[in-house]
Amino acid sequence: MKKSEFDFSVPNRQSYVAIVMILFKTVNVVVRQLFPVLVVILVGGSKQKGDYIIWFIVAVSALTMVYSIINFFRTYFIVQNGELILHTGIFSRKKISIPFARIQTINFEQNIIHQFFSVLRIKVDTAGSEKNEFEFHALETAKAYALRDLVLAEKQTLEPRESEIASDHISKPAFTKIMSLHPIDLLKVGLTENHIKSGGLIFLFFFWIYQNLQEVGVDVDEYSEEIPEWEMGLYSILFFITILMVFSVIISLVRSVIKNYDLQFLRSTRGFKIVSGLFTKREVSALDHKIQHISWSDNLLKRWIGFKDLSLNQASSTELNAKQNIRIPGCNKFHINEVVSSLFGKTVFEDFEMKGIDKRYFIRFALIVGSLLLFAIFGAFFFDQMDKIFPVVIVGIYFIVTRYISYRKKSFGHNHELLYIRGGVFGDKAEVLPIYKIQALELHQSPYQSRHQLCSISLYTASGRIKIPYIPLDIGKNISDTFIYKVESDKRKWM
Amino acid sequence: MEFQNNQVDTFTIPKSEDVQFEKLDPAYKKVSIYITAIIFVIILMAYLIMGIFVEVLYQFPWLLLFGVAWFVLTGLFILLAAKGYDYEGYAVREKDILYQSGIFFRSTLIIPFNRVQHCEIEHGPVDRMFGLAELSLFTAGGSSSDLSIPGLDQEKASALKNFITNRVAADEEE
Repeated sequence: MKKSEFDFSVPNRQSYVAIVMILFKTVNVVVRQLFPVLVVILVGGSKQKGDYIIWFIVAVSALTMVYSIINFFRTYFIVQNGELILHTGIFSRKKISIPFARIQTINFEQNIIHQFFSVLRIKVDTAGSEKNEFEFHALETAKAYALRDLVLAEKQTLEPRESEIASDHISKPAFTKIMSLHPIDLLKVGLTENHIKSGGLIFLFFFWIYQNLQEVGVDVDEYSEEIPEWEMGLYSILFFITILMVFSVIISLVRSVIKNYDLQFLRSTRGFKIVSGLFTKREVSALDHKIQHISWSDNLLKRWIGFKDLSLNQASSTELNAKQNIRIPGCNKFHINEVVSSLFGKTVFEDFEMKGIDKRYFIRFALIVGSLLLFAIFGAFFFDQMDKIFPVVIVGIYFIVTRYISYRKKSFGHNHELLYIRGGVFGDKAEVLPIYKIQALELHQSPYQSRHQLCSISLYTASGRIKIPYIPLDIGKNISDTFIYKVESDKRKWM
Repeated sequence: MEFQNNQVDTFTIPKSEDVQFEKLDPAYKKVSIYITAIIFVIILMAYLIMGIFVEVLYQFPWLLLFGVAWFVLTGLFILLAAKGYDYEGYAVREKDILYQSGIFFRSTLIIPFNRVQHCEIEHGPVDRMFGLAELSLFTAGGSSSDLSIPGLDQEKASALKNFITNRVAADEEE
C-alpha cells in the first residue's frame, strides 16, 4: 500500500473548520429555540414575558459553545499498534481506544459548509454493545480518506475473510453500481411518498407553534375568536382538504428531493454503499455480515410505477431503538433481485411454498371491534347522540377492512436458508431473514389461540423483531423446532 | 472450513414438545406470594396515611368501596402469584435453554447458547432471605428477547450459569 502523506502516529486534531461548525450549530440552536418567541414579537404579543426566555436560551447556548470550543482544543486522535485512540474531555479526560478489527464501518457526511471548506464529518462505528463509537465534526477530506484507507487495509490484513475476495484485498474495494436515481426518477420517488405522513407533519408543526405561543403567554384562543365566523359549509371543507393535500405533496416532494438527490446505490465485494443528499451529502456503508434482514415495500402509487423502498436492516451497535436501517427508495424488482442474490445467493421466491395465516386473525379482531361499535351505537342511541356516531363507525369499519386485507395478504414460507414473509395493507411488503441470524424465538398463545389450537411466533434478531401471527399450533411448533435447529447447527457468525 | 449444507430429515430434528420442564424452587412460590402481599399492605398503608390528611377517605362510601376492592384484588393477585408458579418452568438442553410462563397468555422462549451475549445472577433482598437467585441471559435481540429465570436455588443458579458460560465459550472456539 502507498504510504499515506499523513502521519497518524502523532496526535491529530480536527480541522479548524470544526470551530465554524460549532458556531453554526449554536446559532442554529438559538434560532430554532427562539423561533416561537420571534413569532410572538412579530405578531405583537407581550414582549416582557418573552424577554427572560431569550436571555436564558442565549446564555445556555453561549456556555455550550465555549465548552465545545475548549473541548475542540483538548480532543485529538492517534493511530497506534493497530488501534485508533481518541483523547477527549475538559474536566475528566477520557481515552477511547478502538482496535481496527472492531471497526465496522467508517461513514462520511458532508453538508454545504463542509463542502465549502472541503472537510467531512466522520463517524466510526464499532461492533459490540459498548458505546465507544466516535464522531468528528470536521476533518480534512484527504485526511479522512487516508484514515479510512489505512483502517481498511490494516483490517483486511488482520482478518482475511472468505477466499474469493482474498485476491483483491490489498486494493481499495471496487464498487459496481446497482442503481442511481436520475432526476425524473427522483421526482417520481418524491411524488409517490406517503403524503399522509407529510400532512401529519404540517398538522404537528402548527400544533407546535400553537403550544409554544401559549407557553410564552399569547392567548391564541383569543386571537382565533377575532377571526370572523366561517361558514363551514361543504365547499370550505373541501377547499381546506385540497390545500392540505397540495401542501402535503409539496412537503414530501421537497423532503424527498433533499434527502435522495443524486442517490447512488453501490455494491462492493463485502457490502453496500449509499451516497445521496442535496445540501448534506451522506455516505453510508452497510457491510454484508452486519445486515440482519432486508425488506421492501411499496404503496398504491409506487406499485403503479413499479418502485419499491428497499430497507437494509443492520445490527445496531448500541441499542435496539437506534436501529440502523438504511432505506433506499426507487428500487425496481431487478435491483432487489440483485441485492438478494448478492446477499443470499440465487433465490427464487416464487419457488417458496407460501402458507397463509389462520382466518381467526381477522375474525377475532372483527368480533372485538364490531361489538365495541355496536356498544357505541347503542350508547349513542340511548343518549340521543346519533349524529356524532358517524365518524366512529367509519373509523371502526376502516380498521376491520384493513385487518381483512392484511389477513388476506399475509403469508410466509421458508427454505433451508431463508424465511420469506409477505404482507401489507394498501401496498405490498416483503421481508427476508436468513434463519441463522435469529437470536431468540418465542411461541405465544393467548387464551383464544389456545382454545383454537393456534399460536403466534416472534423471531428476535439483532435488527428487530419479526412476527408470524395466528398459525396452527403444530405448524408453529414445527417451524420453531426447525429454526432453532438451523441456528444451533449453523457455524456461521451472525455478525 | 468447507461450507456444508446437507439436507436434514425433518423427523430427526429434536422437538421442543418432548422436553420435560423443570419447576422453579418451591420457595419461589412463597416469595411471590409474600411480595404481592407486601405490595398490597403498602397500598393499604398509603390509603390510611392519606386518610389522616384527606378526611373524605375515612367516610362511609369511600372506605367501604376501598375495603372491598382491596380485599378482592389482594385475594386475586395472591391467587395469581400462587397459580403462576405452576405454569412457570425451564428446560436446559445441550444447545439451548427454554423458558415457559403465563397462566392465560402462554409463552415459550427459546435461546440457543450460541446466541447468548452474557449471563448474570441477581439476588434481591427477599430472594436472599430464602436463598434464591434469578438467572438472566442476554442476547443481541433486544430486551424483550432476554430470558430470566426467577426463583432458582442459589447453588443451582451458579451451576447453571457456569454450564451456560462454558457452552458459550465452547461455541466461540469452534
